[in-house]
Amino acid sequence: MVISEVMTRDVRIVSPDDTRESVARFREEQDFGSLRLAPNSCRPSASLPRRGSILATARVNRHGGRMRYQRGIVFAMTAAVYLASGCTTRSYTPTTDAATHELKIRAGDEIRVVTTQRERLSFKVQEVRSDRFVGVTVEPHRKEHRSAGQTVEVPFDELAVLEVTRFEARTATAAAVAVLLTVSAFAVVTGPAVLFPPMPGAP
Amino acid sequence: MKRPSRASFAAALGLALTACSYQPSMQHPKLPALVPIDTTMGCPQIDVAIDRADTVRWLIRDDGAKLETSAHRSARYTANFLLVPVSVLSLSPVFFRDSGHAVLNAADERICGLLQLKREHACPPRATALPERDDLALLGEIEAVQADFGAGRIEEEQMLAQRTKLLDNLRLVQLPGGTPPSDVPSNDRDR
Repeated sequence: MVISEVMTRDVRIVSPDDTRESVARFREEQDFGSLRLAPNSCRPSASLPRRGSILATARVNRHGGRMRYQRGIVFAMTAAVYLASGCTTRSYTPTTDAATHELKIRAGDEIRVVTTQRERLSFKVQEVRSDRFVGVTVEPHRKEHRSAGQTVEVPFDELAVLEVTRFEARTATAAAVAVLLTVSAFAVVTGPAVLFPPMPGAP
Repeated sequence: MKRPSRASFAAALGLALTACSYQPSMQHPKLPALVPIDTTMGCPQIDVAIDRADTVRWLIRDDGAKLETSAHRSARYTANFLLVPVSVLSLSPVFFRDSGHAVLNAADERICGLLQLKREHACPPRATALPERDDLALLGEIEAVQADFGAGRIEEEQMLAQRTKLLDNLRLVQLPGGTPPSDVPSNDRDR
């Protein structure tokens, strides 16, 4: 356990003018074992619990706030990675024209192919005919030789490998559910303050 | 005890270097083994299927893949067994990849299966990049090499190297644009 996990911004200050009864009531409500005075100040610095765990400190630690903030960022980034996984790249080796059509490549898709003549191509599909793709080459990837902007026709017979990157709703939904479950589980264990921390500089 | 530890260190170093040489330029599909429906293909279809499988194999080889022996595979598994838990605990999981063995081996096996099918159907042989040897003769050589390994006459590493060398030359391909034939993968480090 790190100290920042038990720190709180909800600092309760007992005034020297408070009565003994009110302090006793306060201790009873908050379940404190004792209240101590901070050195060089009149504010309580720490409270020791009756039930074996530290519940609060009186001084808000800026470093602890920053740690919680960083943890929030890590969570946000993790969620982004999960969601980005909905966009997947898959490689296929269709063996028939029908199998190629089943891939549901549409005009506008950007695909990478390797033909049986060992040519590597990346192009944006403009038209899907019954037996071939027609498109325009895009910026070449590594080991590709055709420059961007050339019109190409790739017959299905010559397709050996086809790679396409696209957003898949099913994968994205699964990723979103995974994120929700993870965040919920973490919130149950740690409390919402850790998941949605205040800015370090906030009052 | 010194020699095995040195050998293990050398094997681990070799694995690391091999893994570095394999950098897929795109996702490599793992080709399926032949299924019963494939046996109904006619000769032209078999040749097209061979061309496709050979192209996938060429792509994998061109990206630096090579076959690994069972000893190398065991060393990799052992290294990963030790490395993965430690790296997971240090929050940066790493492991040794297989240098493309799985996808390359699958492609090799599919091509050999298709060539056997072609021979069973008595299809006409096609020329290869090797002089005076057609594809069915090449299949015969691969089977002879594998039989030698099965009989213990050659080591596994030799068998894999010879099989790779033969299959690298299965097709004579003229690349579009007048560039010279590229039957041998461009970054082939075995030769």
